[in-house]
Amino acid sequence: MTPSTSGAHPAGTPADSGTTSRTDAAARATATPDTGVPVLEVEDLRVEFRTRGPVVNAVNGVSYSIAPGETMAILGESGCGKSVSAQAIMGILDTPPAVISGAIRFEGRDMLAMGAEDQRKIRGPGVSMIFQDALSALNPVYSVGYQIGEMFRAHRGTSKKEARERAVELMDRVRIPAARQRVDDYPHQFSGGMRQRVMIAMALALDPKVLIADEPTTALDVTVQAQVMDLLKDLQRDTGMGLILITHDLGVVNEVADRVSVMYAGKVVETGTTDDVFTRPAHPYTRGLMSSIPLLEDKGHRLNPIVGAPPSLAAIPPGCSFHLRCPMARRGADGRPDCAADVPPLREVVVGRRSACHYSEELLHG
Amino acid sequence: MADVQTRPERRTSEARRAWEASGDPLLEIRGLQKHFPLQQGIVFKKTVGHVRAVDGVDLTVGRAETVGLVGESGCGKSTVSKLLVALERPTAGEIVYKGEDVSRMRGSALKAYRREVQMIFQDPYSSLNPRMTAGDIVAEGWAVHPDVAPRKGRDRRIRDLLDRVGLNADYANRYPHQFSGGQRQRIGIARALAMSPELIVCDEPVSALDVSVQAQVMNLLEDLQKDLGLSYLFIAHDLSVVRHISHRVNVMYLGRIVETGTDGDVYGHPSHPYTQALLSSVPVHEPALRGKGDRILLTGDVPSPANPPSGCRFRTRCWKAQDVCAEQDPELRDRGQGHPSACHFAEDHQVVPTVEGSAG
Amino acid sequence: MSDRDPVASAVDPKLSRDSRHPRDPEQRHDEVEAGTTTGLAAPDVDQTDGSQTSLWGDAWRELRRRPFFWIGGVLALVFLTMAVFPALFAGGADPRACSLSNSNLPPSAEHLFGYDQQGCDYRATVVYGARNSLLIGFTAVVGVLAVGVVIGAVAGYFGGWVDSLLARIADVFYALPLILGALVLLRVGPEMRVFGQPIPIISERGPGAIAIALTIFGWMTAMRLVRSQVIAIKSSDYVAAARALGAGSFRILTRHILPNAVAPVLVYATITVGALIAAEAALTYLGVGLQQPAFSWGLQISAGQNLLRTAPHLVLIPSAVLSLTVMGFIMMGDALRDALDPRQRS
Repeated sequence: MTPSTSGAHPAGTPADSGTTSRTDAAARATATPDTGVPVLEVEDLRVEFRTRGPVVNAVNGVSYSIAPGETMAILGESGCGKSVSAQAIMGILDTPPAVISGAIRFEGRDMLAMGAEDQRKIRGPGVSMIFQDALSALNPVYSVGYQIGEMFRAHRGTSKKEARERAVELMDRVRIPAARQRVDDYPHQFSGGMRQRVMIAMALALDPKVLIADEPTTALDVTVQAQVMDLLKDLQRDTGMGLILITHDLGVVNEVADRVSVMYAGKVVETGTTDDVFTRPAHPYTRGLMSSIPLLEDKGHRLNPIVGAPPSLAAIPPGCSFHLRCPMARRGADGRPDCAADVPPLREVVVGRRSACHYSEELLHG
Repeated sequence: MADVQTRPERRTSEARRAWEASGDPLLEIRGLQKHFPLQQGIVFKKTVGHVRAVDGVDLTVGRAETVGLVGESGCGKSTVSKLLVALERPTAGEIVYKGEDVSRMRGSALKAYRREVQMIFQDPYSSLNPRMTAGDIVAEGWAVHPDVAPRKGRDRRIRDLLDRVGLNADYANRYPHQFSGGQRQRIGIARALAMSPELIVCDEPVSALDVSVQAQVMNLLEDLQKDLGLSYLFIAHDLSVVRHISHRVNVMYLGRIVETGTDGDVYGHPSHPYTQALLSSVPVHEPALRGKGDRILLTGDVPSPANPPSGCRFRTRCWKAQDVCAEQDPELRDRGQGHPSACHFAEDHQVVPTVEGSAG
Repeated sequence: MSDRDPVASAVDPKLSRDSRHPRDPEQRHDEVEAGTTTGLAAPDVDQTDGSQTSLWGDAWRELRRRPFFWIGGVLALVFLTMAVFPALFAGGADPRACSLSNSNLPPSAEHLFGYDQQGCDYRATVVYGARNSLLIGFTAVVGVLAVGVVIGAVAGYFGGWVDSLLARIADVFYALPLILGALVLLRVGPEMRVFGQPIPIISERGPGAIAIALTIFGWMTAMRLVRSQVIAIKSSDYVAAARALGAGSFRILTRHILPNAVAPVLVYATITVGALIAAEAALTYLGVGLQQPAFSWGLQISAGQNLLRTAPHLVLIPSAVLSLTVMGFIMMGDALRDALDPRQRS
């Protein structure tokens, strides 16, 4: 717990601008789960959807873990399965059509092996989640105070009056101005950024150990995004919760995450500390993403995008799922792996870094 | 590929001849306003106010130039695009295209304008008619403007256009739902190109696309500009994307342009507090630059465009605001910072960290 | 290995080339660049569906899997054939060849449906009744759609006061129940004179009159459906794109809006055929629809009701046949709705 708190990233405070990124990285490195005890572990998670037509393999053997106070980002483009893995943790996938296997361990106990009632006790006080679209996640016919308070009534049996008081406190905590006056307002009376704060207040109501934020700022403007990300970081520092941030935005990952797992076609293709992954990507997909984005600080030259588009999860290519778009893909002569046929395992390529590419070393050293 | 851009004979008016001789910009917007009435009642509607979506915008687009228009949601940038392609009529102000005012155009003049100024939409899923094939979508404009493409050889041209935007020409018979988002956006670009336009208004053309696909589409737009001499008005909320593609950038807030200049001016030397706050909010992509920039967190929400603040519209959220800001509307001009900015206290303040800056 | 080879090389010819000549970094850069202009055409990774299908093609594939569609479709087809070629189903009997000695005979092996009060073969009578029912059902639906689509499209597309006016007119008609309105029109209509002349069709009390009555009092739902569809589609980007190209209102309505609005209208029409057939039977039963000696299930039910105790088959058989027809169309419409509604597709 102690090392992880110090690992919380001091973004945004101008006073910190003097610290070099090296000490920053060192502080982050201590937050890796090797030192801290993970509170949530996902192991070989698989989710497939069996509907009419082809089976959709949304998550294909994903493992990650999160320690208290740590921020782990899951980075990926749309349709890579990043949200589905979180939905599996939260138990909000309908089974069927979803078929879930693997293990989701919260404080060492496998949630997938528990009964529904035990799972429910973890969701809320143990793990909670915020979504991209706060407007549709809030019920339009109840006041926000009622909806925040409901968390206490449902899980703790708090009285109506007490719940309302707690709702006001929480709204203060997520920095909603004039919380006491606004507690009886309805969701449509709030702006997008304020609604997202209401969502965060609901998610934090029961002091979760892990908060999953699924594209929390994608629908928000950039100035509001900065406020919400700052709020999340501050709340994390205060509570010591683990934060899983699911996003497609490389900038957001760089600003707030200690570690990052890059997902492609339902698999983690690269994982490591944010600094390492961003400065020297070990997977061609990660590198492709980096060279696809225009920079704010420089007009830059021609962009270098990845060819093609991500595959459908119902028709993932054989071998390495990225090989059709990969500039490094090989046919594997002389006993070397064939990208079109051999599935690359997610293996340690440098200490603390794992990549699912047969030729990661070439990318790192070549 | 050369025949993609053959231009038909067109009538030249006096104003246009004068424009051709003058070397004035392709498009000049002056004092553009669009107010939408706020109405109450179901049967007998009563106007109770106006939403000032666009409230006095000046903007120019030169020949073969890309002009960026950047702002947050609700700032009126999409309304500007609709006014430009004549989907909406301005409340006041002028849109002067090749020397002629678009808001006074009717009939065949308007039709000719609509051919020359095309639009690319944000959502590749809703901007293509699901009941039409890719080829029909591309060819649709020729039914309205038969003179653009002779009836004979249209199939050939559809194939050329699809090829030009990087799609397999054999896909002409496929329906939109059979394409990915990036491919659909290419069909939308081909539809615009089919009219051999001079200016393309791009309304958030890449914001619905994945990062890797977004870069493909931006490169395509750049290639097309280079090959065909197109002008773009590029509207987006993503500041990095706008900087990358634009020669000049305009920053919009609550229906007005607050700062304008080259990309180096606006991004490297922002002088309006809003621009500074906006730029400082963008997360940087390099670990080395993290935390290097000056973070300016704005408080409060954007005021309602139905009831904008007096004087400077940004003053309610501005840390520099003084009494004068509530009284005098700051005009968009150079106050010594090197490029026009609509702030009484405009001053250059670098907020975007650069690799050189952080090294020193 | 060998079975994967053709797949990979067919999709990405680049790959097989690379295996022989590993790329140097410079070349790699160039190919990534090259991919930006023709990129999507080259590695065709996201094209999983190679066939050229339209939305209707997809709907048909979906429809084929639904048993309700087949049951409904077969029922509808059987009754449609019955309406066109009644002799095929009448078992050689002539509905006009009656003998009072057979009056009210119950069903038997030779005469499956027995005889009616006049001693006519009831099977032939019921079979010949299909023609009027379906004729009225289909004509009325065509009328309802014609009126509903035109008024709905105009109201939705032009909006403003045009929409307000047309919506209020629809409200007025909504206030009159279908059966009541048609009943009044069919009762009063034949006696009405315009410039001293009887109104054509209405005065004849035939299938045409009933179809017109049902159209006049039944178009509002179709109108509202089309109106709401048109309003939704009108604001879509592809309509804006067409307007920006300079397309006129007529072209936008016929090429862009109506083709996309047609799916729910088609569903509604299919279900409504059934409903209108039932309405015709009701009007006829009430005595304002078809008159003797026409063949109609409504007339047969009406005639049979007094004999329900002695000869129940006279009511039960036409009722069952009527129900099956109505059900056939409703089932087909339901299946069609499921197939055309993308939200219900997973």
